[in-house]
Amino acid sequence: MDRQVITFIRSLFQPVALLSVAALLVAPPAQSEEGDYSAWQTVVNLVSPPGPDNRVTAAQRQGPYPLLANPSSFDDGFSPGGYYQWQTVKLAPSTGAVCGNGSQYKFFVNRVPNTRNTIIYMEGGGACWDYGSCSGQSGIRGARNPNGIPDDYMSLLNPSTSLVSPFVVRVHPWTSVKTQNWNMVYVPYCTGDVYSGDKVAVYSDPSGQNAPLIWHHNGARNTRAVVAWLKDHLPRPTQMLSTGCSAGGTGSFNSYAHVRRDMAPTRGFLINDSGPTFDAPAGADLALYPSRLLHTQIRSAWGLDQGPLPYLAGELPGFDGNDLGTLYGALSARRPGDRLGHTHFWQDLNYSAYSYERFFPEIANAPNQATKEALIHAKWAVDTARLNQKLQALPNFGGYFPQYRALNESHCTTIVDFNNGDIQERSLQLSHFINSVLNGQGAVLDASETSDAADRAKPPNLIYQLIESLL
Amino acid sequence: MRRRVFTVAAVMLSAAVLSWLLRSEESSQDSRSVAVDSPADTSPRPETRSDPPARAEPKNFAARTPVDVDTRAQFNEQASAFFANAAQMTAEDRLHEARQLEQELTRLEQAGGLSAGETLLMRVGLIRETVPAGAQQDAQLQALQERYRAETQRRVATAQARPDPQFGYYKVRESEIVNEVMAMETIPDGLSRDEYLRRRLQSAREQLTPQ
Repeated sequence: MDRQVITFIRSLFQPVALLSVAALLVAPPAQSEEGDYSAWQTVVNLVSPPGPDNRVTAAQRQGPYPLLANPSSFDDGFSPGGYYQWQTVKLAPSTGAVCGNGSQYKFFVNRVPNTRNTIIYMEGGGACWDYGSCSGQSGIRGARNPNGIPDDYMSLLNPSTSLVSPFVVRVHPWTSVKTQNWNMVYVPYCTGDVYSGDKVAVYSDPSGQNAPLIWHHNGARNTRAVVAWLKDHLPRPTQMLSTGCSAGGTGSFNSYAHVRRDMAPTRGFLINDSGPTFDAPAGADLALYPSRLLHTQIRSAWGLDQGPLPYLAGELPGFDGNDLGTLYGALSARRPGDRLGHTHFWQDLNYSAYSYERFFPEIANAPNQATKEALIHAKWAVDTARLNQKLQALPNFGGYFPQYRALNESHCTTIVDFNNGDIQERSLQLSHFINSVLNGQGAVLDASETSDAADRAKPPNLIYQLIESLL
Repeated sequence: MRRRVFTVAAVMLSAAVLSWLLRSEESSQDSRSVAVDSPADTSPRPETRSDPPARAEPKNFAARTPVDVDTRAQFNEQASAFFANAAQMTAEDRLHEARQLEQELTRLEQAGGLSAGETLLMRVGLIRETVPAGAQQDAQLQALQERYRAETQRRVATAQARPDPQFGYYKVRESEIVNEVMAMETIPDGLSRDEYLRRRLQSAREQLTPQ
């Protein structure tokens, strides 16, 4: 179209725009919550996207696990005005970030113009601590994305269940949660260390046929690099939810103290979905603390004792590095004004298998699958019962433990939808718990289900079957 | 309720006009934006012109395209309203609106920026709201499943067929550095072997990555 015509049409539209803006000034926002911009500011944000107001300080760029920025000349791929679309943000090696296989680490941002509030969603996907599990060997439970993160990861369905969560979509056909209107940060998982490790492992092939596997358990530094980027590019969140399922739940939990401190939201929320860090004191009786062997393994494989755990203890006085389960109480005490939640199924057969299967010969060598599952369930029940009890004593840290859902081995309560995480004996749905964390006042809801009979009596869910078959 | 409608309409109108004005401005100032957003850019590259036509490839998330914010926001609003009110609509209206949403969903998907999880859930929802439970719904869900599976396999295969040579070079250097560090009898600067190895490998990546 001729430039003069365009100019003419634009001159016609400008008064309309001004009138519309004027209308916004007199009309109250349709729905607003703490952290939302005014309608007028939202319009301004469309023209001029808000920049950072909580940048990394010089002091934060020093010391252990510093917040390191991309070099100024590095093209991270981010467009500040790219609202409502998933944008790939690349992190330069100098930030300390890297995927397990040595490839570039990247994460994903989906901005909105109308609020400062932000959800940080950490992707789940197993864990690894030796050659077989980190190399993706078949027959062993391993970790997500052993080949790194492609740029178009968000538009690939395979292989992440986390991509199909009400927490990371703008519109869900039947599950809504207020964070669907927030800025979203999707943190992918490629280090096999539940976002906690800091060690370059060299794993030998037990068969001797292949070269050693060099694996970067670099989760702790990746998380720091993500936080550094967020601080340097986006406004400080008024409300911030940190969440994820499985390894992502553990990662949200393990990193919350530092993420919350550095992002500095006015109101902080945590929902750890199915990534428990159970009590497991060094040298404790395995019958009472069955996660002890797992914890011993990962402390060594991921280098936890050298850097990440002392760093965590430095922020959380109540945290005892000899018993990782003390993190619940320490976090609750450190952030009494935040609303924190943990949820998982009693019948979870995924995280539990990671926790015990390879550490107990009677499970590894069980004569049949039913026996194996029964042994795993028994140990999971011991750990879960203690956690349930512990959380009941922490007012700002709720625990929600339904029994069973016919999806993903009853692993993760918040994927696909918030349905069928109900506790029928108390007429509770999972959404009650999530609402209690995000919108409640007073103590965060605690609830636990005693029987899985009602859950198992439900008819097959075709949609769960469809989605499960894809993942 | 009327005030809400008024507000939404005003926001949409303002956003539409402002983003149109902005896009016009960007178009006149930044020819790169035009190139990225123009239809020519979505055509296959010469070396792939003979490939069989498949679903249009979503644009790279990293591409700096001007974003149609108002369209995206409007779609979110319409989809939410549809799923909230579908049960009260007539079958004809429901089907009509679902088709419109599916068309717009496909368009936005091809423009890039929607996650596979979003589009899958949305399509499952549209089928659920418009096709009665039973064999027909099962068949449509099955077809959807096959579509996503095939698309994922296709794109993973495409990515694997194009290995990054720079990464390949890094892996060679990585192996050399690991062998060197593991053979060292003393580690410089009072560092642990693990920390020294980590720093050496990071340094190698920095040297190989344009910054």
